[in-house]
Amino acid sequence: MATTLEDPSLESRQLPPLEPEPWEPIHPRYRNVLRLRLLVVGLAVTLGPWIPVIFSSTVTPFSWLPSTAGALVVLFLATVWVPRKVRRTQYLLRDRDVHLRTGCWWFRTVSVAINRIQHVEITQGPLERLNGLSELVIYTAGGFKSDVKVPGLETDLAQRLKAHLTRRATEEAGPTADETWEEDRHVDAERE
Amino acid sequence: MSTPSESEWQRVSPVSAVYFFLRAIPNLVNLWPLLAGALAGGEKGRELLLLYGVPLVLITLLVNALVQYWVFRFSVEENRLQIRSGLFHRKRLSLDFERVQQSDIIKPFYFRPLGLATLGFESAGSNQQEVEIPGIPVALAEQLRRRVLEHHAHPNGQENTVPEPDYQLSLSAAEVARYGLMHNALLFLAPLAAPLGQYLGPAMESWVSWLRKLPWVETLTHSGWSAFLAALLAGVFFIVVGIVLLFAVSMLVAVVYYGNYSLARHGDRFQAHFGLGTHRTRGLRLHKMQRLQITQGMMARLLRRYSVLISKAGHFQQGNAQLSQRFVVPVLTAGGLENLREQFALPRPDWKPIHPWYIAAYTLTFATLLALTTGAILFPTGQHWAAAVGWALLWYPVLGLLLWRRWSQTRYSIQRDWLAVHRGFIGHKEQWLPTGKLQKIAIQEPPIVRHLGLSHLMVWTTDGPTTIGYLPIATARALRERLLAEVTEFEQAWF
Repeated sequence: MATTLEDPSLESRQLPPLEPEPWEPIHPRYRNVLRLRLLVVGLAVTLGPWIPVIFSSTVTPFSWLPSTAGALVVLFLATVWVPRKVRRTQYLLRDRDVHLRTGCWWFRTVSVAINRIQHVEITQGPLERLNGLSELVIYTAGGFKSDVKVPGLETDLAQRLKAHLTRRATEEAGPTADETWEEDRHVDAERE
Repeated sequence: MSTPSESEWQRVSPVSAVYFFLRAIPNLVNLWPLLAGALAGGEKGRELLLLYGVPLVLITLLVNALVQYWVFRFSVEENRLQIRSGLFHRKRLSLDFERVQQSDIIKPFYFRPLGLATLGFESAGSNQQEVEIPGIPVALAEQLRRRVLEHHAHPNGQENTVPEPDYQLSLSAAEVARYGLMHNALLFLAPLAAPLGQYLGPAMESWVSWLRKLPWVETLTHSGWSAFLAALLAGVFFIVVGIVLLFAVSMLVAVVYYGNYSLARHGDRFQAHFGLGTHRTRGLRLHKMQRLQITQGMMARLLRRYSVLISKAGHFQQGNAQLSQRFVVPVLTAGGLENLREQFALPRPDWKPIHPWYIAAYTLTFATLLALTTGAILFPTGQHWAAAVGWALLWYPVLGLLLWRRWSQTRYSIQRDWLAVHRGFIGHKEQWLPTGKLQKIAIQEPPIVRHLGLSHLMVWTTDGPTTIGYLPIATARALRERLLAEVTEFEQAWF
């Protein structure tokens, strides 16, 4: 288990920081996906409060209040949150690890070493399909929710990334490949 | 290594029908609608239930047990174990020896007189599975288990001679009983005893009237204290008796479950034997360890003892219900812990504190919430505003002190191959993570914390996440780089 860093005490400045590295943004079209999703939510929150009003058939000036508030929140999210979120979502592919930076106000950086990747998946919802985008999901064995989701990638790029990661993970697994990679093969319950 | 006779299907002992019978009983819970229906059906329903229902269920269980025994076969091959079971829903399972995380030999009371045992294997992987072979001779179980555990070390042979262990530990009954004191799961059941209060009421009354007749209580009667005193004494008495009883039961359970505990190490293989009623043997190969936890709760601190808990891959997904499946060293003295640390090659921790903003962040949040609540309660009661504000503000120093203690007990240590996190208040808990086996690392920078140049570091093992909060951003990033380097350079199998 030898590591390159022999020094047991931690000198934070000695290590190269992540900043100068080429963080790649996700595709700006992902904003459309988020806004379309918000549109659905927006319709629900603006029209929803009117249902009781229609049934009780007494329209007061206050009847406008809930749907206006809802509409304002959705509008705020669509104009401020969506661009900021898309701008802040970036990924970084290095030789031996993958990083994902997310969060509009709550920043979060997730890192996975390529030799810990269990499998890689591409998902595409209807709204994403409309915009020609896909989501890349990287799974590790870290228990519940131990996956890294990179949204808003062009489908072609997502496919290439997936192929690359899968190949690299197999390479990294190296001599122990049959142990780490073919995880599911060892216990098979089969029905006759 | 595999001889022709070995690869044939083998049967287990007919006594294993008892095992299948007992194992099917929990499934009866699914019949509760029938029970509810019968009970709601009045006298007639109950009669039918007793006359036909109970015998029918018993016969079904019995037939099921016999059939299960009849169809159950297993075969041992060179590198794997195959099991065939089920009559209608046929199941065939093969388990590679290499994948076994843990193996148990369990000797329930109904197998022991016949020299039989149940052999249990737990395997790693996304699809966690447990395999049990009931009712095989103890010698065969021991041999199979040894073969599985030594599969890596000696793929070509099995050693019949057991060498002297490299390390040994055994616990006396008195030590194991301490575990009952330290981890009293029954204490959580205490609120369930509340319905018993209705029976306690009359008992209390007679108790109080008896107390009242005591001469020394009677002398107090004139000062008007008698009734209050008697009630207080009675209350204290019942609580003390209740707690003593709970601890006694808990100690008894600990002695029965962990009695005769002994632990031995042969090379990288640990093996624990324990249990008075049902004997259990639990094995662990060192490289399967995902997380090691050393705990010392409040009671344990008074008793100056520690517990060690070792998790393997997949335990996190199974949830806490499977806690009993983990590898546990229930009670250790300080010296014993020191020895065990050496066995696991844990380095001497080089503790580093986290940023003291931890105290401020939690104090400000919780004290403000509590102060607002206190104010809201005190104002309408007609208190002077200054008094109300004073009481409300009192939360800040109180919580500040409590959190200062928590902060001083929160530290981390990063060393070659190990990341350790220490937490505590009165007792403490130390988590040791082998850095090479980490699955994922995240750095979180929430808004306010970020502006102070701080962040939280989260690491995931297969046993779940561990967080080190309030680290300077530069430190957190350097830690991540270092951990990632150790993960990428960890060449062995990580599970």
